[in-house]
Amino acid sequence: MESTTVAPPSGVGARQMRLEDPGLLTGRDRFTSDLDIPGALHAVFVRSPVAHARVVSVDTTAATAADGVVAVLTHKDVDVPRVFFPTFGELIDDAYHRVPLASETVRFVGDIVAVVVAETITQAHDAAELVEVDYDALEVVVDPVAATAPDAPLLFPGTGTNLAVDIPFEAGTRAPDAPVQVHQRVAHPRMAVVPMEPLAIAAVPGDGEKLTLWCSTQMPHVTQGLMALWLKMDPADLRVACPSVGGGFGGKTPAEPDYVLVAAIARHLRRPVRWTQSRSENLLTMQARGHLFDVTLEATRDGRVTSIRSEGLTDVGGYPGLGIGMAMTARGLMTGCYDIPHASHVVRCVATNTSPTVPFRGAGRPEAIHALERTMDRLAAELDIDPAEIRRRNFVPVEKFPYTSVMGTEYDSADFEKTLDEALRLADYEGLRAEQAERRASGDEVALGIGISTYVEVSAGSPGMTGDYASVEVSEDGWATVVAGTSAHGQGHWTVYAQVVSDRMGIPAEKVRFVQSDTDTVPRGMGTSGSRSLQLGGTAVRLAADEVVEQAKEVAAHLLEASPEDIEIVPGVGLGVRGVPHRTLEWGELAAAVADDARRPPQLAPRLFADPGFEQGGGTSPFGCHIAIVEVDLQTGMTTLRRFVAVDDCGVVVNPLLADGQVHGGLAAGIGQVLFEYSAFDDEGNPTTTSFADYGMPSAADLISYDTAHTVTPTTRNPLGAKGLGEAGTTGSIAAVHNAVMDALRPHGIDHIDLPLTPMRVWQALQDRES
Amino acid sequence: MTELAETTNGTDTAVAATVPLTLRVNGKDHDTAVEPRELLVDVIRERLGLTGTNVGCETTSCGACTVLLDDRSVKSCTVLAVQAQGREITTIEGLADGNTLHPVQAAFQRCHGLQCGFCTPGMVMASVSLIDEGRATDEKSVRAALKGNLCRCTGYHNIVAAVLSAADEMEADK
Ligand code: FES
Ligand code: FES
Repeated sequence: MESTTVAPPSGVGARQMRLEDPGLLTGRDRFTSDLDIPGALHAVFVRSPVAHARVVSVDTTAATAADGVVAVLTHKDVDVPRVFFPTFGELIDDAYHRVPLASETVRFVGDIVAVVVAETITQAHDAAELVEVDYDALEVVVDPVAATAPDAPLLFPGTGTNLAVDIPFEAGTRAPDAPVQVHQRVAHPRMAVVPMEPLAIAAVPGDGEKLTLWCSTQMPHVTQGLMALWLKMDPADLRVACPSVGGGFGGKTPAEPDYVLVAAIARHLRRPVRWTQSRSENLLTMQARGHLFDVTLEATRDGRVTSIRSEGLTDVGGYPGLGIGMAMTARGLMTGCYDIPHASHVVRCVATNTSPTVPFRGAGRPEAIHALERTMDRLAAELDIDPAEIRRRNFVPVEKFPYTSVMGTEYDSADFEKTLDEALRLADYEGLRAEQAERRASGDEVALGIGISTYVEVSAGSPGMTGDYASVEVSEDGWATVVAGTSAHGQGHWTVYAQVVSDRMGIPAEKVRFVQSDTDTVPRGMGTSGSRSLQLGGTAVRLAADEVVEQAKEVAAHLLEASPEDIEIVPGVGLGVRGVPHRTLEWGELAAAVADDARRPPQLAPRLFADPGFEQGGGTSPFGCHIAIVEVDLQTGMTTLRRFVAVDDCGVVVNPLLADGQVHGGLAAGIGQVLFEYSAFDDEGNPTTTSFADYGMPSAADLISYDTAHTVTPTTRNPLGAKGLGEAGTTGSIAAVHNAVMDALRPHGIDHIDLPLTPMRVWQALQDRES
Repeated sequence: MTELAETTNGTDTAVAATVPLTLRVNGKDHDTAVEPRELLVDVIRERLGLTGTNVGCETTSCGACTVLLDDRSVKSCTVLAVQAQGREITTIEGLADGNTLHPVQAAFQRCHGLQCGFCTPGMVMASVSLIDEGRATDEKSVRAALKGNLCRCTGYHNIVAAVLSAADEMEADK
């Protein structure tokens, strides 16, 4: 056929608008709670109002008799499995495992003691009010330091301690008699993950043992595996599928204890049961962070760091579990961008009578970088060296990559000076320092602060998570279908994978269908977390696309009577013979030919299909430099963010529009954590931040527009040259904003204030200094 | 009524003490019956099956449920369904003209003003209203006007850009 002129397909590097958007922008796409599940019952959880108690009795009589109630269940009525994570199996005692429906003891406000199942959600709520629980109070411990005391009340008396994990580490050689030593304690408080769509599930029993879980998760296949393990089911009987997922940020990575409970109840009742988390439940039970770091840096007089000694105490709440992962990840990054010959670190995770913790954007990365970069600024101040300069002096030099840090962490590639220089240039660092000097000299009551943070992370490096699945198939209508094992929930994988297809096959992005997030239609996958998807899923798509092109070339060669080496891609059309413009075959024709026994080359299968998958074998190291510029009113303690410059290097950028979007969201979370956001409990373990009225979730009015830029240092670990970016914004920004506020306040006699830097905290510090 | 009941997510439509109600949504009259305590958002989602309007909180704080009531944005979780009787309700489903996106929807796509899309229907409806009221004059006023609509994904940067871009375009088309 004759080739027609078509607009060039939007491949790698294009600011392609998202294919996902029309469905989301018109309200057509559905989230889990939007699904129509015929005959579904509604579950409401009765949660403990006390932080630590023995459950004496649960009286369900009145609730059971209430209108529309189908069942009121306690641990005596339904077999609910223990929830545990095999990854941490060697790290913690089995005694810490949680049974999501508590039996004898409740360990945090929010622990579930009963479940009401009713015909309507209103009836379930009304009946839940009627469940009478008698608690016998136990001594409460909320403060993680207090929880480590020898006489602290124990959450799991059988273990003899609240310290679920206590792992020392030391490596390298410590230079004797370091001339300079600084120590900084850095608190990294609890916060809430707050995806705008809370958790939601509908558990629908089918024939025999079959069970379908429609749910909001980042990891359908991992959820399938863990659920099957816990519920002692054959994974083949369990389908996990997600419609649209309204954000995750790490809070939807675990197979949620709440989901196990709903699944167990649906199986018990043999009826579909649905549950949607309320916002107050979400703010209470989806919490993260919660670390206390003690960092000591030793250095030479010219600011070369010779040793880092650190300890982390991580509050993992009432049931030590996933929270431990963040402490371990943080350990791996404690030396950050710096070439430090000696390090020691202790990971300690402690149980307290507060909500169990889950991952949140960065998941250990921001924690480590925050602690380290805060302390680097203390060292700079101690030695009177500019914060940019002290970092430069300690960077791992570019010729040392791939580099294994003294913590044993591998960084595949980076150029720290490049991002630092670019950020300094964009921020006009010298100009800012001059303005600052001038304002300080004039006694300005509004102090200017400039904060720098340089960071490195490891993306897609978690053991067992370094590869993923994708298939590409071309059908007779000329469209390509991508099936991916990653599971997007806002990241725009459809769009970027389509760009990869477009780049490799010449099929326009608009003609790419996308299938994900359903264990019935996706053979395997590890979901989306830890900034893994583009580099692993995108590469898997690329490899599959390349194989399909090879198959198609054989078909075209066969039909056009040419040699496969002479067949080339004709973008927007299909394949053609090199140098012969009119001899082309459209993709649809090629797919039809391969399905036809008469026209298929004998060596080919009857589909244009490939799914080789991709195994990277390890992680990649995104890095960057963030600079925050703040003004702190010395009268009120109010911090105003004036400008934020983020230079991130995630290797090759497939879609700059989406890459910037990832950074923006990450920055908002990091800035929020420094200035407004925290989850809190009183001394009795009562949560005090369980509504948006109390929790400082940042709004548009609290934030500014950001200056983002990228340098490009491609990785060689995958053929796309891409690294992760989803967490970078948060990893870099926390220390930058914190350092900026401290930079403003240092001439006023304040060296450190712990987060969050609310006006009250800052004002109080200024007062304390005067008294 | 029976037709509507089939689209519910299990809400009991047989409860006593319902009052008949006609709601005009996206230019179409819907006859239904509701309990006086029922919120507009629940009726829109569960009785009318228009699930584009989302619920993100119970404290009128997040704006995910924003709809237009006589062209002004309201949080539909703060309005009783009976209060909407006789008024013109517009939800996200009623904004586009067939396959042509409303200029605000188009700007959100162009500027990448959405990621997961959960806050988006509310954010778009609030934006339509603030542009209509002439409040999208500059970045600061857009930020102030969107204070009640929370988003965890975008950091707001591209949402603000989208609203300003749509406002420019709509002004030029006047
Ligand atoms: S659901 Fe209406 S404001 Fe949050
Ligand atoms: S786009 Fe996800 S909450 Fe706004």
